[in-house]
Amino acid sequence: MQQYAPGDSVAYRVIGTSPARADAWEKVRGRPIYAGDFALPGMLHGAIVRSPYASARIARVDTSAARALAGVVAVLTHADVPRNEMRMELPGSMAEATAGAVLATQPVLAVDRVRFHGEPVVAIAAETPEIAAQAVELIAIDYEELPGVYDPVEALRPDAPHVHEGGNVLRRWHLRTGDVAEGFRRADVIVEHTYRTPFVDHAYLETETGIGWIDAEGVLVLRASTQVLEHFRDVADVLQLPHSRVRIEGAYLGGGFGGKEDVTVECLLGLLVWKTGRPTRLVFSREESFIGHGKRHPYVLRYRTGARRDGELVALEAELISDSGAYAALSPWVLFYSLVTATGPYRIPHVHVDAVTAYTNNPIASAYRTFGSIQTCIAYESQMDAVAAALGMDALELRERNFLRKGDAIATGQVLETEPMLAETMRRAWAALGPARAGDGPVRIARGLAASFTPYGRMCWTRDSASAWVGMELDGTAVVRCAAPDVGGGQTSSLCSITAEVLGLPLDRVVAVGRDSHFTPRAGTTTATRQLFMSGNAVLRAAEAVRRHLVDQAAELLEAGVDDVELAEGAAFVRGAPDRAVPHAAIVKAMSSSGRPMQALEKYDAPVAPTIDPLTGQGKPFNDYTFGTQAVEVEVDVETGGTRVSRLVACYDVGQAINRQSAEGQIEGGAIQGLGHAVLEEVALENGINRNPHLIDYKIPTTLDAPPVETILIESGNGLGPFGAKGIGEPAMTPTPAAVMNAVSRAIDRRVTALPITAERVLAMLAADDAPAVPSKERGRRIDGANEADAALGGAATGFRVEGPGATGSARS
Amino acid sequence: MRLPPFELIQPETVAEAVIALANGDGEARVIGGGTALVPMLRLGLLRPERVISLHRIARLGAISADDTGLHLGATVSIAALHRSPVARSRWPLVAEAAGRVATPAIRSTATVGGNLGYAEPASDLAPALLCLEADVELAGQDGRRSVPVTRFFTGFYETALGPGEIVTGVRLPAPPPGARSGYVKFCPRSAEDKPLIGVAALVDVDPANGRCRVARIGLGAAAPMAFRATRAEAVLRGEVLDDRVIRAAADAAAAEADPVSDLMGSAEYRRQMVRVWVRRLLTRLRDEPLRCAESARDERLDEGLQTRP
Amino acid sequence: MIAIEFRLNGGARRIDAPAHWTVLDLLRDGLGLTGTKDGCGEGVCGACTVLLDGEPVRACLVLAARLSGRSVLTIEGVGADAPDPLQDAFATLGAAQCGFCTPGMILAARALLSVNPAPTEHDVREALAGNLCRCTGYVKIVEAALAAAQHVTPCASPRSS
Repeated sequence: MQQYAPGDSVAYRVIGTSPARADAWEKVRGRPIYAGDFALPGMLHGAIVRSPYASARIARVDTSAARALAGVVAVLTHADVPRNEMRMELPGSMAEATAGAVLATQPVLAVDRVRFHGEPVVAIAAETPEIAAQAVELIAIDYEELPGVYDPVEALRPDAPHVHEGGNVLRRWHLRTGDVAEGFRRADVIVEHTYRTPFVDHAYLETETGIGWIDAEGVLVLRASTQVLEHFRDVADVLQLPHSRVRIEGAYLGGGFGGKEDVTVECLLGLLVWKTGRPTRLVFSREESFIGHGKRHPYVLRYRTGARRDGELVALEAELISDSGAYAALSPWVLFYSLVTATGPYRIPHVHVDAVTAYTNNPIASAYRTFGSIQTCIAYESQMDAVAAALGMDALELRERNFLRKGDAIATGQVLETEPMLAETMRRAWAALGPARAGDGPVRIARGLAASFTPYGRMCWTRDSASAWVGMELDGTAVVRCAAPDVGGGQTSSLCSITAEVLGLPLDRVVAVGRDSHFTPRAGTTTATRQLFMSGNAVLRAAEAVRRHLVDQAAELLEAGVDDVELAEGAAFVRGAPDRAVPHAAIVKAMSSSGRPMQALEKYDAPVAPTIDPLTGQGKPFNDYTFGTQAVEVEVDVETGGTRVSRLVACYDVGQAINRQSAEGQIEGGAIQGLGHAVLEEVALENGINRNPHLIDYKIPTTLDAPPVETILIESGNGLGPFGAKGIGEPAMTPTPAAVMNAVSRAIDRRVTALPITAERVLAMLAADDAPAVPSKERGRRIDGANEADAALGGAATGFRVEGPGATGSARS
Repeated sequence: MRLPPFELIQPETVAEAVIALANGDGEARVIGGGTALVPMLRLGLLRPERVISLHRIARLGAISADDTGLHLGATVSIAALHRSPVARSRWPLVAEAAGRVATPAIRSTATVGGNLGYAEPASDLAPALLCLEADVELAGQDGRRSVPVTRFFTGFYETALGPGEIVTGVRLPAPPPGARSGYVKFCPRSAEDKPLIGVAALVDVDPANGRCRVARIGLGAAAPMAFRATRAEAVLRGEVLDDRVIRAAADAAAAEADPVSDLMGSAEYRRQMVRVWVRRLLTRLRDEPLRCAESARDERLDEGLQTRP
Repeated sequence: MIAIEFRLNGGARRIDAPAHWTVLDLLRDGLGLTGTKDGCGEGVCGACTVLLDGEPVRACLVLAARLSGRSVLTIEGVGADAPDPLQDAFATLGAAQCGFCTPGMILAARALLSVNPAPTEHDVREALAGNLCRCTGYVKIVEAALAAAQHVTPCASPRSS
């Protein structure tokens, strides 16, 4: 019995309100809830020796001096690792389908070669952190530097040094629909630019942390700051233990954003605990975190967009090149998300996208909020403004004309089954900026926007599922058991809200217990904006099952039909007669006596679709997408290039906000994190060496950099999550850099094509006469009717890239 | 992350501190608030066997003013300097610059002496002290001496401190009555950052003929050490501060700068920013209503007091 | 080892600590008070902020020995006797997401309100500029600090000049 149909304007009691999250009270009191807050008697302290080189052979490792130091308990090299290999599982037939694929593995401790700055080589455990640090200094390693490659375009050249055997191509994807040559023939304008994005860091406040011990049953237990409890399998495989001998307790994370999605401390910590037999804590320093963990992929995005005079988009040809860094990690999948989102949320009948991710000796690039969708948004939304300029058309009208609607197919052929609400998000975000402000003296003020779409939930063929248990206690409270790691986005709290709503309980009578790979039903990773969708639906089902039992019992107690019983405010009553109520505790006691089940364990399976065709990208890649627009106002000082984002408005269709404040908080946080990506952040690499692994030099936004953020929520009820919710965690960040780029482009009348938008770069662009920013092609003339023949992208000396008069900035709206 | 172990000496007099430093045999470091030293220890850039903290020497924590000027002890915190009523009313330039150092929690920890001794080229305090022509007071085994701040910074993170010497304080003579001063900290990345360049200026205009009689421009982060842009100052002296003269001074300052290229920006960009911000600051000082040096409160500083405890 | 006598969250404490320990080491590892966080070790992130004689300081930069004779307030001491308006506001207005920055934020905000009981939004942003948050975008943190200011009375903490 589906009680909550999407789109119903139901007045929920808990859903959609903004209650304080239960974990919020723990946090404002500074209670010990993070992995690093725990200590055990006799605990050792771990430390990792990491490569100072980006590409080198290890000639000799001498651990003798470290071993001899009093208080050092273990010094481990690759020889001490039972199976020195972490594998990337590549599901389905996609694995065989591409050229140059290598088995994606990464050693826990390097054997004879290091491939990136910071690669772990030796693991140490000592009685105190001071001794561990001293031991690190005493490890003597002879490295012989090897030629490396530090740019993915370089890495694709046939003569580039190989990072791994088999070449530097890790994975290619292709998207083909229609006939792009025909599309360009029909185009009246063609706009071509190349966009570049850098490595950026998650920079969560809590670095990678874990504590481990062996419990009374000989189980290796890790309490870790991780987004993936399922890493217990990786640890077990590395140690050659049965999976049931390793358990991960999920501590609350001090931020994740995808940076704690791959294995970080888990295998190293597990190794140290297992080898010493003693409790051990391993914490990465901030410098170590910057150097050692995966980053966002840098991309080179070559885009060629064709449109007709009336604004209809007709063709897109794009080449996406991403830098995977030294190991594969999740690069093929990040690239896949980029492939699917490459067009933007628009109807384009003729599409040709080639995407490749290449190995380099740069830091590993892997999961980071939006997972490949942010880079394509930067390209497709800049292109939209550029096309609008070429046509002399209003940039909002151009978008609205081409936005996907219900029933349209995206370029993979997937038909959208619900209304994307794009125009509404765009119009409302733009309108909320209010009347335009005039600049003053050297300060120009301009506005820009970016529309976006971001998948939520996993790729369809991964057969994603989540389980949850909901049960009643004799005192009438409800317990939720679900192993969904909480990264701070309110994951746990939302499960309580759902349960409270369904069971008719006040929120403070629902408790979520633990996040544990062994003791709570497995819900999968807190990644891919999947948790509300998956564990939320699992909890919904379990709660509904428990509700049925409660209602059956209450109906007996109230001598009424089950259809007449309502649950609200902690009691059951007959509809229309709230004065004769039976509290939950009484119902549960009766259930206990009568043998009725007081709990339910349910599994939610995401809808499944076959793997998409790897050569054409055709198929249904994701179950659903979140659509949203951000609009920004920037102030640019044309004498210094200094750029300040003064206003930001975000409008999203969230389907249904479960906790309204949490939904707003995700959007606000995502937007400011996106602002950092846009104007502040870049990992400064010099031949693969990280030159700014400190917060003093890797700047993230402060209160003074962040403008007030206005959020506008649309609740269409169209989501696949509980109560029609969509996911918002990653989508919150997707359009921000593109919106800032578009605004700055308008302010300076040049096309910004690279991030971050630093003051010096802006000043250089302003100084360069009226040429658009490197490395895009220069302005040309409008093409009417005739089109150049299909010249290949990349290396095209023909360059028939065209923008109309004025490199940017249509009629200032 | 723990610091590498060291012995901590906490002398109660300057003499004891000097002796401890001498006994350290080059393996000792003096710590003020630790805002510069502690991160370096943590990163393993320095490994002193002993650290000498001056915080127990009571007189080093004093701020006072007399007819020889404003006296700041070496362990006076940047926050205390920013808050000091006498500094704000009579030496507003140094109070203003102090308020621009980092963030509240850093200011309450960092010290005047530490800032001087560290000699960071991007120090916010140094350009102000240069404009105010402070004297840095040192103590060592050979006794006490003082060095004009204009000769105190000798190179890239280098000072006139001899081996075994410590900074005990700084004395700022009274600025010319009626002088206008200001400090600009240009942070093009995050608003909370080291300055890409810092410009302090103090100008005194003769009311009788409108000509500049005192011109001091201190530049930070524009060279291996903070320095006075003396050629720019010469352009201003004796002139009426019209736009042409100000531009000429800005150009001269830009030419005098010797900036580095680093992660924050290139040398050329820094040089251009010297030009822009010297011009803007001088223009602002020229156009502001005259502030009497004896008057009680400066509004801009009061705002700072509200927001920087 | 150095003997340190100081006041912590309103009570007298005496503890021995190695000379090279910072206040952060002392709090977390010496005293088991883990509310104060280690975010960067550089003094930049602000997660280690505590109040020393009422002023905000970086516990990761101040040597433990400096506590002698002084008074420290950590997050564990906030709201210990009576509900604290900042804690209430942060919790109810959604200002804590992952919560790692929250203790430092609350203490920095408390330091602000103790000298400026009626701050503007800009005052709040200036005072909290040394506390980084990666989750919230600061929107609800600023709202919470302003909301708390409506209810708070200035703390009568002595301030050294």
